[in-house]
Amino acid sequence: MTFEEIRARVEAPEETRFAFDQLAGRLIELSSHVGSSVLTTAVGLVLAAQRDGAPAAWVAAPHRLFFPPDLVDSGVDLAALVVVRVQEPRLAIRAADRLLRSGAFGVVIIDIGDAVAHLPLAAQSRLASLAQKHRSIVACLTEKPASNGSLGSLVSLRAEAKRERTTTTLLMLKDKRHGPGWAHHEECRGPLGLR
Amino acid sequence: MDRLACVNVPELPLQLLIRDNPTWRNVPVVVVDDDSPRGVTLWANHSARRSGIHVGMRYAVALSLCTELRAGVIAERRVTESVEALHTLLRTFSPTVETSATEPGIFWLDASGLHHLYDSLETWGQAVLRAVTGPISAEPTLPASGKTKREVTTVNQALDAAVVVGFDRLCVCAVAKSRGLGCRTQPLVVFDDPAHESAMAHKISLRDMALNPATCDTLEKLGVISLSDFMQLPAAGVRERFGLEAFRLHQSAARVHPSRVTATPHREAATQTVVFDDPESDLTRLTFAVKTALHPLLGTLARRGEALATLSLHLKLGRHHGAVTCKVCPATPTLDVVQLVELTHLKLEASRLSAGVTDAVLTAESVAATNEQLGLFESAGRDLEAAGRALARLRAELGEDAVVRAVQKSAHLPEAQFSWEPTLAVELPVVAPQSRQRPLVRRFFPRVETLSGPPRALRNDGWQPLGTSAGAVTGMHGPFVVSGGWWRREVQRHYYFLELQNQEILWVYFDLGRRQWFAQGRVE
Repeated sequence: MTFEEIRARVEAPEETRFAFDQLAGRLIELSSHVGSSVLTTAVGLVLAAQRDGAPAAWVAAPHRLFFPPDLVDSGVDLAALVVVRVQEPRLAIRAADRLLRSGAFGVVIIDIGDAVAHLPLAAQSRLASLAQKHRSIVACLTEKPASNGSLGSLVSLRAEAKRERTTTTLLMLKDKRHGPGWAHHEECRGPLGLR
Repeated sequence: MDRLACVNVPELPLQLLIRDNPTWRNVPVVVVDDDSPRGVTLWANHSARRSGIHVGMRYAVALSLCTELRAGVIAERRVTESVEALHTLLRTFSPTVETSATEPGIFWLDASGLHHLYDSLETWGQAVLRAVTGPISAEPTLPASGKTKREVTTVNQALDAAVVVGFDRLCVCAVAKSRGLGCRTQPLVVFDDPAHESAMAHKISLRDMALNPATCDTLEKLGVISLSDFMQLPAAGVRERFGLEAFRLHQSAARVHPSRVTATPHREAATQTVVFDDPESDLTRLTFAVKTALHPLLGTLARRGEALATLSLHLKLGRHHGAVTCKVCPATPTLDVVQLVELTHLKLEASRLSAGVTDAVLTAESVAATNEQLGLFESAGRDLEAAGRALARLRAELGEDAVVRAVQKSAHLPEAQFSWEPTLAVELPVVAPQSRQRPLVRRFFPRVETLSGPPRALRNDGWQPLGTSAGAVTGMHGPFVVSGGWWRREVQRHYYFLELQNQEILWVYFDLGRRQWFAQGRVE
């Protein structure tokens, strides 16, 4: 990567900082507490990766899955979204490792609830290096308040996903590239029936 | 006035075949595309042509005409390599060398100003001729070219050639072509007068200009034998009657296009150097150092549209131990790092290095890569086959139902609107451009959770379906009536979105049959 490319990434305007190009190659953590928009944000990442021409993968516990018709409504191609259902956190990390190692996936979402809080540093290191190697995003969805620390030092970006009615807000609590404090807003609409 | 020269190494594939078989020099020889009776003759030497054999004839037919005929196959890659080697050699005589795109063995050199370096252009021409036709040299003659010894000696192998120095690219080419294979008389011609050059070139027979033999036959029947006769024909008529090839020759002869030499880009060998802080004797560390250098090396080749045919490893050993050179040759040209690292490891293991390595220079010999090879190269895109293999491993490890994808279905009840189906492969996404706002996404509970219903008499604390922690319901959107299954077991549900005090939005329903509230999901 040239110096100019690095500078363009660092100095990107706030509205483009949450784009696929900016997030590719990074391990990110999306936190939620209550009344969050973490799932909508994660689906946004899937959509961004698919727009970049890359398939996506979703590693989750069987009871923590999304409602697929909402993804279709968002524009996601379900045929290019692989879902790996695992019970144990250890297996979820192994599955994410294997998927990333293939180099075929633009984004791998890990949604295993509280268990991800104990993600070992060695696993984080592996996932981060694989993400960097294959220009993929690894997004871990966690449930904790903003006051709690991130998963570890290898997390490149940590954001808290908030929602106020239908407006989603991502508040960056940690960003190794642009620094914390900036926010990303998106005006969404409610699912059919929610005004 | 600009001066230029043409170097003609006539019938290069045929010369390569005869060089491989020196005893065939005075017998009829043909180069065929396939060593079988149905093989087509691509090149025929003078003796073969005298026997009635011509280009395009099947080998079986040619053999029936001449029983002493010898034939062989020269791979296109080898001809290309020879042309590249000759191009490199000629670049030591002129900075501007153009290689003919259609005829292997024809080169144009810009000779302007070179008489300041040499006594005369004749001396320069003799030097060029000596370099191409000279005997095999044991020592490399191109210290600055960066080529290996093997490549240089491939060039200096007594090839028949002619060098013509003149003013016009077509004229010098025509005169050079008239000095065909085996024609050792006056292989060097230097024109001092453009008129003399033009007059001599226009006497050249059309057959020497590499025109299609059928076209030559037709033209001969019309009495058009030399270039001069050909030039008298109208240009438009030439294209209509004799095709594009004849028209291009006519255009060149009429000097429609400028007569200058356009340098063919010189392709530097792709190399990478690894310098070690301390002499490295550990084989594993050495292999991984090579692997690190292989990535950019293969990246360079992939950008050129080439694949690695041979990897030369020049290892400089510690003090007083000299250097070792080894070559790694994959079965087929490849851009696969894993395969090359494995072969390199085996090669280094067999080399038994006497001392630690201080420097390693990797040089790639390459050939044109296929689209499939380029597609497999890591930087070219997402490897769906690798994804398929990863999914197969996961299925084997986690169970058949672990790796799935969602399939949407047409149904009324939410749980019937999709299904999870096992998947073996991944597809590239087809995404429509975003035309409106994205919806909020719901988390779907595979097993619905029972909720406490609203109290009969709402007091100040209201309806708290999730208990006191989430707070009371502040907003309620619905009902949205869903019913179905009347033919089996009727289901009647009233769906609502409940907004809670803590900002959560629950997706719930009231089951009329069971008189019970359930949580179907949550908006996140």
